[in-house]
Amino acid sequence: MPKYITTVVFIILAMPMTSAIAGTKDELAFSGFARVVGGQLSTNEASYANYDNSWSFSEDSLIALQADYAINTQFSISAQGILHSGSDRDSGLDWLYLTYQPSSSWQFNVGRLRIPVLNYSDVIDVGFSYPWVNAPEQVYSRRIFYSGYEGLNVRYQTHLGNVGIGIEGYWGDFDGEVFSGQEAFEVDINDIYGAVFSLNYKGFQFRSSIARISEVVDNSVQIDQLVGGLTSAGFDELASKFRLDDGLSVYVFGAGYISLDWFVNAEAMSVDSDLDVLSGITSYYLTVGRYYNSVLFHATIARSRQDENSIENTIPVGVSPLLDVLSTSVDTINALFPTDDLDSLTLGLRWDYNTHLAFKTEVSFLKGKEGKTSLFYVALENADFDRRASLYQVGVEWVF
Amino acid sequence: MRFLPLFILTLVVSPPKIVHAREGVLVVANLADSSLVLSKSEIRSVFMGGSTKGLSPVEFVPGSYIRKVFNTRVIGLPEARIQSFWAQMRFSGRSSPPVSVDSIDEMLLFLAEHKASVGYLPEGTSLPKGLTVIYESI
Repeated sequence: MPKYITTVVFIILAMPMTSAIAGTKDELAFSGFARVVGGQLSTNEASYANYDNSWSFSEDSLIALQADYAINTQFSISAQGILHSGSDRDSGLDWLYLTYQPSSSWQFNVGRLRIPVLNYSDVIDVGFSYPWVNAPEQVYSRRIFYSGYEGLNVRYQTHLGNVGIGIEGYWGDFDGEVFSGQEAFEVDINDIYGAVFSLNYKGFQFRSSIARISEVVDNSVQIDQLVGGLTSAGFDELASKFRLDDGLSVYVFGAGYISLDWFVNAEAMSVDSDLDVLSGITSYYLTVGRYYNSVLFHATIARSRQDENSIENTIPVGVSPLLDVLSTSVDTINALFPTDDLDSLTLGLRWDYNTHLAFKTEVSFLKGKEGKTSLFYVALENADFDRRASLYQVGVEWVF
Repeated sequence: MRFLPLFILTLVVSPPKIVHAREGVLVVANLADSSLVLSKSEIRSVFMGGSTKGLSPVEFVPGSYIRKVFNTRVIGLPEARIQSFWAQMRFSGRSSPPVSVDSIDEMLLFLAEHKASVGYLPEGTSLPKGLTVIYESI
C-alpha cells in the first residue's frame, strides 16, 4: 500500500467538511494521558528495560494529547501526539486516522495506526489501561509493537446468544524494527497484515491474533559489510544465511476471567522467523489480580525462550589474513544474536485514586541464564554477570 | 521474596461487598417497539463499547450509588477496571464511554428527549410514558 494514506487524511482534514457533508455535527474533543514512571535495578553489572542501578524517571515517562473531530455521526478524524522522555522512543504524531462507523457493529479506520497484535500492544503507552507499571518484558518488549503502520483496520463485533464476538483485520505499510536492543539486527518492515479474533462469554475472555510481516529490508550496516565480504570471498551459502530479506509471523493466544473481585489473564506469543539470523521466540505471562475497592494487588509470572540461532562458521582459519578477518566477523555477529531466555515474578499494587489518576508500584524478580542476553544489556567487562536482578518501579498514571 | 506469603494471602482474602444483594436495577429505553428484551450479556455489550443493537447508551457519573449497583449487577466489573477499559478503547480508536448524567431526573429527561437512547434506573422508579424496560436485574 502506498504511503499516501496519511497525506489523504491530511487533505480530508483540510477540506471544508460542513459544506461537503449534509447534516454535519461539528464536534471537537480533546483528551490525553500522561505517565511518570521511575525505576531502579538492583545490580550495577547490567541494565534491563533501560533501567540501571540508579533511580531513573526518564525511561518510560510521557505525555500525550488526542484530538477527535466528529464530522457527523458516522465519520470522525483523530490525531494523537506523544512526547516521550525516554531516549529509546521518538516523540511525534503516533496516531492519525479517519474513522468510518456505519453501525455499532462495523468500524473502519484508515491512516496511521498501531498494530493490535497483543491485548495491550497498541496502548502500551497508556499505562492507565493495564495493571502493571511495566507490561511483561518477555512479551511486550519488542519494538515492533511500538511503531505505527499506515494502512487500514476493519473491525466487526456482534452477539450470538450470550457470546460476544469480535473480528478485526488490518493491513498496511510498516516502518519499524523487529528486535530491540540488538543494533546489529535492525531491519525495516514494508508490509504487514494480520487478524484478531475475540470471544467474550460472561466473565471469560479469549483472544487470538496472527500477524504476518511479509517483507523485511536489511537496515544494518554491520550485516551488510559481512554479507559483502563473504560473497566476494566465495562463501555464498554462508552469506545467504546472514542476509535479512525474508518474513516473519507472530501468533498470540490470550485467555482470562474477570469478576468484581479478581481476575486472571494470560497471553502467549510465538514469533516464527524465516530469517536464519532472527530465529523464533516463544513467551508468555500469567497475571492474577485481586481488587479491594480501588486497590488492586497483582502477581505475574512471565517467561521467554529463544531458539538457538548460531550460524556455523565454515571459514578456515590461518589460510589468509582476509579469511581470518571474515571468520572473526562471523564469530562477532554470532555472539551478538539475542538469546532472550528469562523467567520473572512481578508483584505489584495499583491504587486508583479517582477515575483519572492511578498510583502504581511493583517489584520484578528476574532470573535469566548466564551466557545469554536474557533481555539484559551487559557490558563486556561484566560478562560473568549471573543474569539475576530485581527491578523496583513506581508510577503515576493520568488520563484526562 | 520474604513478603511473598503475605502477598498471596492478600490475593486470597475476600474484599468487603459494597452493594447489597437485593438491590435491583431497571434498564430502560426510549423505543417505539415496546417488545424488545435484551439479555444481560447484550446489555453489557451496549454499555461497554460493543454491538449496541441501534441503541445509544447513557449512564450515571462515576461515584453515584445507582452506577455502583449497575456495575455490580449487570457489568460485573469494578469501577477501576471499567475506567482502565475506557482508556484502552479511547486511545486505540475503538470507542468512547457513553454520555453520563448526574441524577435520576436528568436520566429521565435525557431518555425522554432522545429516541433509541437506553439508560438504567433504580428498581421501583415510576416510568413515564414512552420508556420501555428492556432488562431487569434479579
